[in-house]
Amino acid sequence: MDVLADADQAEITALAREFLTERLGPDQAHAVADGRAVVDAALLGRAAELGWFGLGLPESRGGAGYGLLEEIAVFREIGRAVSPGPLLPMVLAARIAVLGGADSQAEGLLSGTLRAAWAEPVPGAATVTAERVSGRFASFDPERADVLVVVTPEVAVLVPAPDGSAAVPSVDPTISTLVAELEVAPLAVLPADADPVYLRGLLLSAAALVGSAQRTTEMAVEHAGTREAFGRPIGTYQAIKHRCADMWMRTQAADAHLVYAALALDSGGKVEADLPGLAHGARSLAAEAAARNGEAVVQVHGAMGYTWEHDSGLHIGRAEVLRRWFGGPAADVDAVLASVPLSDPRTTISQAGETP
Amino acid sequence: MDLAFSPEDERFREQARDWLATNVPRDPRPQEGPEMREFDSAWQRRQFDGGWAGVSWPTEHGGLGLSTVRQLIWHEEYARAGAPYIGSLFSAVNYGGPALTIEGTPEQQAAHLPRILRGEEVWSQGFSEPEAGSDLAGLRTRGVVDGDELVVTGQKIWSSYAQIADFHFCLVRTDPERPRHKGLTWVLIDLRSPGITVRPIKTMARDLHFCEVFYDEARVPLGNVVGGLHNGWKVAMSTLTLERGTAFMADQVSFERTVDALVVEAASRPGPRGTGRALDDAGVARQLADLKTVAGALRSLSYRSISTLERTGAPGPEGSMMRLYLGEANQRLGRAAMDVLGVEGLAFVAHWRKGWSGHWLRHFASTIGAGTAEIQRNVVGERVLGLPR
Ligand SMILES: Cc1cc2nc3c(=O)[nH]c(=O)nc-3n(C[C@H](O)[C@H](O)[C@H](O)COP(=O)(O)OP(=O)(O)OC[C@H]3O[C@@H](n4cnc5c(N)ncnc54)[C@H](O)[C@@H]3O)c2cc1C
Repeated sequence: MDVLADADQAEITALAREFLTERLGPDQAHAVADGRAVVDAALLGRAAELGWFGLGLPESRGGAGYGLLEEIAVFREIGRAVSPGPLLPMVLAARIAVLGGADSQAEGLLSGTLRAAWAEPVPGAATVTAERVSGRFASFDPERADVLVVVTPEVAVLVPAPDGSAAVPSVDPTISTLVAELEVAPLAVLPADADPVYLRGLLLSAAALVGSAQRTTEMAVEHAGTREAFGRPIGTYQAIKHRCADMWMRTQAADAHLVYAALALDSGGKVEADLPGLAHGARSLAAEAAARNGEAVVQVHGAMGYTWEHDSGLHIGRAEVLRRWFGGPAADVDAVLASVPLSDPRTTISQAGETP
Repeated sequence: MDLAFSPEDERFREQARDWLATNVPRDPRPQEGPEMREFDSAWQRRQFDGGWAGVSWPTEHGGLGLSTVRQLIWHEEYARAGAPYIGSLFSAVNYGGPALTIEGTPEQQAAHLPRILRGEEVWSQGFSEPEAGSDLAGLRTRGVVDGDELVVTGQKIWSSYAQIADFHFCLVRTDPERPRHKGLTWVLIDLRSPGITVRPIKTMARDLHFCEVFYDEARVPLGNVVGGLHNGWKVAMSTLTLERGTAFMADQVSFERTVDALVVEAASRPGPRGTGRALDDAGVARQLADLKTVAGALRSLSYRSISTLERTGAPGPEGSMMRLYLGEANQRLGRAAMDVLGVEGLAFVAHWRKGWSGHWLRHFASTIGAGTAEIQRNVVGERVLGLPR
């Protein structure tokens, strides 16, 4: 048992951070938010060259042959950098196409020439099967997309992207959104029993949320140590210091649980049987950490944190969008509670642990 | 990176599980008085005789000398088997004894550690005083060297289990001329010495959990000083690091079972509006899902902390948040339990295994004992994040 990153993962993290800082970090996110730039095919091609879209796919199928933990290392960095662009949809779309045997889409997605966008079923108003995708969906960045990715616990599909020109800016200023009806047949299908793409995607989104929570903690701690009020650094005031401590604690818990869940999923359920409960639990901690750290980082920065120029708004918007994917908080509650063995006679108060 | 345990570790797990299955006492643990001590000691003795006491303690002190990974496995199996809370042996077994393995002389170790592991010695911690709680270094109890003895006068308070303990490990002021932190001494005091009066204090949860201990020129052999005269602050810090760090590992692991039990409770009771199950109420479900997730996160944090310990020899920074994280989660658990039970759950039930209201009340202490929530947040802010004092 060892849950710490190994040398390979540390290197992947360092490389991802370098690329993102230069090409796809907060500066580019601000540029996209201001309408001064777009994440174009060239940039996606550059990420594809780094192998990101096939990081977790076997080498024999055009991937890099890494495991889930390496993908998580990259997505943590993407979250830290609030990278603009459809990186999570691209990775999942490539996986669905490759493992689902949709070869023509697979090649385009792996090389970044075919563009994917996320479509989240509106709860209670959408149906997704291997044959048909119909009902209401919220899509994100659909304007330039070629395919939409729809992932449910049962099945993951790609569908042709309809006209997305009616999309409007979302609470994340780098992402647009469109709520619309779909009625189409999938181009590619990957059932959950063939590959746990839903759970993998859920954990990658959690990684981006954890990365965001890490970054906002750093921003707050940095500011608290230097900004002065009433003749001393604001970090000496406990109202600020304790807020920073809470940011750090939430983030630590979310990251530790994310890694645990990823290792459990990577082991194929040999170590821990309840994968959906674990993965949704990890996502809920990550979402909570990112969202609450977003509130805290604004407060610690004062008015500056409330400005358009500041990174805080990017992190807050990103967290709010990401946490709604994969069924949102309600799906977390359901999956986590479903993991408790209600019929196990040992699970009763008379057998429970006791604390001092 | 790997979640799997080695085949040897798995074999150890199986053996632990087998042994626990047939040896865990099934009688409820008495919550007070000499019966409690008798129960706790007998259970500890049974573990010792079975070859399971002190998994990670050095073999020369009667332990098994195994890794912290094995210690974790033992705690996991212990919780799974529904084994009793360690209770009055907490201070000696979980952190007082371990502090002695680091700071004590060979004579002190030989005199106490095997007895602790056999359940023959109960220790109580005597740090806090009426005028020194969070600000521990403000303590006033005096220790005056007289020949080969220390003469102790003053008052300690909030000492858990002192009414049934054999020894009181105290921090006393031996040199009032030196700066606050430099004139303190860590000393182990036999509570049966003349000049000591122990007076239990009743808690909000209605038990006699802790005590006032009055010292009136009690004479203690200098050989009971641990870590040298006036060096007590350093010894106390290593004691507190153990108390906040690894001492609660068993509780972190057993927390998940407690949460599961509450979920089962919520599945078998009507909802707050009298319809459906309590578990189907959105508010209850959300609270319980949060607790279940936090229970998992506590395990993940333990795994991370132990991985760091195994790799580097020192636990990671997450050690400084575990006690607080668990304490606050236990408080939320108590509130959630009261919500699940509703108006039918207001009877005071002291015994943990028979109801939840005592549990709810008891955990008001979880953000006070072993360092308040505020002090622990200061520690994280200043020592982990490097924020200015
Ligand atoms: C169940 C239980 C068991 C205990 N067992 C033992 C034991 O076995 N042995 C032992 O020695 N002690 C024991 N204690 C005592 C415990 O260590 C102290 O209660 C604790 O350190 C706090 O001290 P205090 O009660 O004097 O509160 P105070 O220090 O007076 O604190 C009162 C309030 O002020 C806050 N405060 C104080 N200083 C600061 C600061 N710098 N910044 C922000 N807020 C601050 C505190 O957080 C708290 O909210 C036990 C306590 C409990 C509740």
